[in-house]
Amino acid sequence: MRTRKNLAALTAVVLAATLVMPVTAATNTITEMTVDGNTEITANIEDAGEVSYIISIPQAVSFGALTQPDSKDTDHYVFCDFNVTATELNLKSNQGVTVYVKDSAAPAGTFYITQKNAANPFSIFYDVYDTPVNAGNINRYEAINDTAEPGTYGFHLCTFLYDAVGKSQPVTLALNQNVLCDQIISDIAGDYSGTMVFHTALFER
Amino acid sequence: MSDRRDKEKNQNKLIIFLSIGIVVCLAVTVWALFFRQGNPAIAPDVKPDGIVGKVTDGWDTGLKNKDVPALQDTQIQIPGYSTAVMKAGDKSLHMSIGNPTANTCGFFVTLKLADGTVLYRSELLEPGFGLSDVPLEKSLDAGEYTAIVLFQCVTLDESHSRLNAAESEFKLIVK
Repeated sequence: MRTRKNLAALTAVVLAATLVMPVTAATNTITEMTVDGNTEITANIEDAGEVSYIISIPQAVSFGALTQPDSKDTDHYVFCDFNVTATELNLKSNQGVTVYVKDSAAPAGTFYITQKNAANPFSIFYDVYDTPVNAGNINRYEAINDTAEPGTYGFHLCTFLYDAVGKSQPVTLALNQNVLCDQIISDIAGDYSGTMVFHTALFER
Repeated sequence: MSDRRDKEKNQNKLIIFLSIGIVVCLAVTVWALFFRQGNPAIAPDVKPDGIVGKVTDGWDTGLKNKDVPALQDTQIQIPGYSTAVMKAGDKSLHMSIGNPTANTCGFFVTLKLADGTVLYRSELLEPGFGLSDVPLEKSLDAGEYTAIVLFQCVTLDESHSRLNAAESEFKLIVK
């Protein structure tokens, strides 16, 4: 009889101990789900940490081969055209993306390409237009770097509203080769490069 | 008499088995309660280590727009962000940072605050490579910060020549 009581008690303890296991596992699971779940809810509401849009920018600034003009009597522009495109936008209807541009190295408000591999590199200034320009119409437009003061992130280039997927902002860079006129060609010959920084930020109306 | 002794023997054996069972169950319970390691990515008390910053291939923007214009070879796709959220004191930020597969250049990515405080610098990310949990160089106090992901684009050849760069500004909420 005593043995049976002991057996019953032991069985009860074993059952109790066995029942503890799924409870323990469930408690941990709930904790994990709660922590992870909160994050997911936040992410679902605001897409926190996820990619909200894709903007396409040009790889490089290239004016091709430059030539030294014979005189400065007329302008001698070379142009570089590209687009900044709203490739993908996953935004709310009251949101948009604004794009600024600046030179990666030049002083604020200026754009330059600089001679590579030179002891005293020569830099050539260029203008940025937020519209297609060419030798025939350039005098009708003003460069964005001439019309406003640069902000922290450079000059405002364009704005894409939430439904502007696939739309592009044409940009033209214009370099007047007249700046080469007074230079000694052997000093300034060589490869030039410059890079721009495109700053994007989401805004709400 | 012999039957009773056999019965007692069997009961003793059963008790021994049950006792062993209890000990095993208790040991497993104690282990589960106090020693079991949760998933470090989601367990609240486990501080993340370098593994969460692991760069992997197969990174995707997560955007599903099917009308994406074909990318020209001379363009670079730059991901943009609206918000990221993390806990005060954490040294890991859930954020999907990577180089879209359509690109033909590499990225060196820097995550920083608007005041210039650098939180993370990546190794070279080739197209299709990225990470979703960013290990931070320092933790932040609670508050809202203006943060920036700087994409320094480079050629994929050995020279890694500099191309144009881009910055994606976003709101970093630290709770």
